[in-house]
Amino acid sequence: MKFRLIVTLANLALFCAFFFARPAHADYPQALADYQHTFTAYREALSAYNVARSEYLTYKTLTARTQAIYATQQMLEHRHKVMVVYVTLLRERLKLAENAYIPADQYQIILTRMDNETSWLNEHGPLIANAEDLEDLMDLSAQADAHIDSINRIGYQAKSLVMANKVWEYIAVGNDVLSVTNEQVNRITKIGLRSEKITNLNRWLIDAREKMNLANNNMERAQTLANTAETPELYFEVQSELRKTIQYIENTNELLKEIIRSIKLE
Amino acid sequence: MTEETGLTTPQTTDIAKPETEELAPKSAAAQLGRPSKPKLPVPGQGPAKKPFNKLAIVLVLVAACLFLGTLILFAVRGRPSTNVSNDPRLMPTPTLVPLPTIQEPEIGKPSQYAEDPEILQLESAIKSFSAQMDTVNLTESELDPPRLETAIHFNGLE
Repeated sequence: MKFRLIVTLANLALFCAFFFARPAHADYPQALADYQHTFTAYREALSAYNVARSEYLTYKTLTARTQAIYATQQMLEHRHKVMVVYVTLLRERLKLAENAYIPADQYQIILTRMDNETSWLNEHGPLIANAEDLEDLMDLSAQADAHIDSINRIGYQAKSLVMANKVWEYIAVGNDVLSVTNEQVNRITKIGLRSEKITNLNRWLIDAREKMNLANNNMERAQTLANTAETPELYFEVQSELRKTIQYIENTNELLKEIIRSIKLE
Repeated sequence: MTEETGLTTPQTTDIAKPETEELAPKSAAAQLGRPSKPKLPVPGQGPAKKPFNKLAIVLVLVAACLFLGTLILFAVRGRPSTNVSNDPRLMPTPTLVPLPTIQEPEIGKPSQYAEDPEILQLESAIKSFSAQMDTVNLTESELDPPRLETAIHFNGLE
């Protein structure tokens, strides 16, 4: 039993040292930097497009039309790049949580969806560069609108899965700490304690287990929601459930602290 | 020259003043024994001076003292801003100073397990986990979908 305790505590220490301070995946910071840089460039192209569009609609001259075609093309190309790097960012972030607590089927589903979007983006990109008139550009933009919506949905789902994964890791540590505390209380009780103290410790342990059960049950509900959370509304619902779960884990921790405090006093 | 014109000239300096009163030239009227006429204002010399009004002097002194006092007050307390904003965001706010964390005193007599290494290790793990839970971030805002312009069109395009 003592060996198991030492192994469990070593695992806990490793978890705290490794999980909470682990370095990000090597490609993720680069993907994030690329995304932020590309999005800034897109915002500038969008401003130029708005100006050129307004001038063309006002003056309707040939020069204004040429300028509008150029600005629209530039803006669409930058928008296209933003979509590409955003999908890459999501992919790299999900890699950090790979083989952890994200359900394997959900992980595969979202990866397949991202692959499909990437394929479409690869085909769509050259068409923007080859477009020669405003009508062509407007058609290409309309085709991309549906995919922008689809990528946004993937984004919300990826966020939900990543956050749920994070809370699952807290749940695992919480369960482990509760288990070790239970073993320690049993060890001390066998050696000998006042009956009143044993009653108190057992009561707190029961309370802690109940709180941890609530956390587990709530986490199951949050995971079910996260698997299909493709809209902002569903994403916020997942976030709310995860916060409740965190609260239950914190309540459990408070009870465990009380148990330790009681053990250390006569 | 004064003797020729019959007018008195003001004595400006002591050097020009005759050494004795007796030697000072007298006016023509005085020399003739007639009563002297009241002096008329001489063009270019302004009206005749009136005696000082004591009340005016006091008022001027009081005003000067008030002015100097105000200047000193501004110099000491600094010039007040003439463009004071009531915007609460611009109002000075107190700087929060974190309170020192006080170790919770263990009330009561320590038990035989107070120094038990396994209990101490477990306590440390629980506290560490609890501290990590306090800083949990459930936003992942960097993964927010980008806001992209859609429905590109040129209204009125023929």
